[in-house]
Amino acid sequence: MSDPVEPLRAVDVTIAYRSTAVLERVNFATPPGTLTAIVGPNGAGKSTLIKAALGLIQPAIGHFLFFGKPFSQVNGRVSYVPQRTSVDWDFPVTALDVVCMGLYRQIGWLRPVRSKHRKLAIEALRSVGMEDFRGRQISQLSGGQQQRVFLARSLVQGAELFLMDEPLAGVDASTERTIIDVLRRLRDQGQTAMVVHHDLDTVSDYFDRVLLLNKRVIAEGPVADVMQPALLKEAYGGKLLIFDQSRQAISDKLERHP
Amino acid sequence: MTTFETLFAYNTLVVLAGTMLLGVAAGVTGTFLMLRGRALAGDVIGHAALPGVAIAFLIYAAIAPDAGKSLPVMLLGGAISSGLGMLSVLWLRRVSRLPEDAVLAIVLSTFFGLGVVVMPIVQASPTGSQAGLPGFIFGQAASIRQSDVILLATIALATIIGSAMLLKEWTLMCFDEGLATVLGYPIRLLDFLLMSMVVAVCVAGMQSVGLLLIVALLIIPASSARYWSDSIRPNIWISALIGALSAGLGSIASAMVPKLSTGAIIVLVAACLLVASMLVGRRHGLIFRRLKPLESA
Repeated sequence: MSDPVEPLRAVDVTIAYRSTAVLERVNFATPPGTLTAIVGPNGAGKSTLIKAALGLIQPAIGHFLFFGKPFSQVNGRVSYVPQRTSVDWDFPVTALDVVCMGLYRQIGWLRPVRSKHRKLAIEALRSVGMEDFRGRQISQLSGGQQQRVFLARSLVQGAELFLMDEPLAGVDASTERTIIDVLRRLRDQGQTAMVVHHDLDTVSDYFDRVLLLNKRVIAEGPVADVMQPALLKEAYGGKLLIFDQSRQAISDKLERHP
Repeated sequence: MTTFETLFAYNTLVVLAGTMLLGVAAGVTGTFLMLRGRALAGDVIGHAALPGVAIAFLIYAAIAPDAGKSLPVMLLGGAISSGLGMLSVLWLRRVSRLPEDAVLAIVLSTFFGLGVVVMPIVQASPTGSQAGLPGFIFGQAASIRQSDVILLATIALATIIGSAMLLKEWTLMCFDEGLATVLGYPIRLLDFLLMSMVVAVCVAGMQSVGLLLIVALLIIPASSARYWSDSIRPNIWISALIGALSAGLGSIASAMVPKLSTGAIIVLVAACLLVASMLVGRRHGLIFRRLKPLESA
């Protein structure tokens, strides 16, 4: 192995929708074997960042490097879990079909999915506790189960970098635990994940690093360095203040009426 | 000839085979078209074929005045203008601020309008009546000759084989373009191939179903299939079967009743099969949903 290269590096990435900048001069480098939370207020460009990294949106300026290379040279080494709201849940596929999709590249053009591929997919479903639901059409799964199926698809792909858009949004507690366990296992095996995350309270429990975003990178680095009131206020502005106040109000109320 | 003899005449059977193959091709391709959320694009492609067909006839008549009409040339013309229609949609979507459905409506009506403008020129030309343009618009299976059937069947077969080979890739593209991109699949190429198949089906179906109504054969069987199964392979087979049944029954009716518009009958049969699927479809039909309201797995 040569020098360890960052799984993902953003170089001066600027993205604009019709002359309005959504992301401005974003620079960061993710070290290998880490779990990074991408955090920021609504409209901060978190999903846009993920989509741009995957080549689904073209940056106006700048570029991304994966393991030091352009995206077109790392097919299969990068895996992605889409935001739940962006999936057509009525699509006629079962949980097993979805997981098998992660193997399509390995199976190759013009070749059908064979039983050895299905075995791999079932193994991945088992690792997220979903093997009993493999025959279900995906709309017949709960939100948490759906998220686990997509995680299994990511796992079966054998990727080294995982990009996930809000995998913990609206899932049940046991799914949250499963996903975090899987992420930690991946990290311990030297893989890297960048996860759009909405819950500031759990950031320090679940992640090693934080990318604090609001149209530009406010801060990036180890959790303890980034999760500072001053930086958070800079990213969230008044919104966080309101959030803090309402939380204060609730705890005051609880103290008054135990 | 009695009705029975008409029905089993060699000619009728050949036409029947041709339209049923078309039904299969449309059912298979339509499944993907619908899953890609492009139902209306099928309509644009159908309508946009008219000016191409007419202009191709005029050009061919100018080059070879005594040769009469050439179906392959006319179909090629239709395919070219359908392709141009599709490109116009892509281009307008990129450069204009118009919403998607407006773009589709604009391209569809403009191309069809151009076709209607060119039509009288064709009809007025010396060999114009041979062109049979009204047949292309509304469909007239009886006008299909045996030599045509071989061409149409080839197009249909190519479409079916192509879809079978790209089943995996198209499914992925329709379901999750993001993953397809991440895995390094050439989305533009896959999209282009899918839309080419749709053009092929529309062009092959112009004579029997007509370019106005061909979209029905792409979309209605695929929609019906969804009531029978939750998995993509059975969906494709069922859609193909319903497509073949609609096209076949429509052609039979058209052979037995002279002057009946084949395309319209095929569409009505397909619509009846859709209603039937909504009622008795094994998976999401009304009756089975009532019987087993909480059934899952």
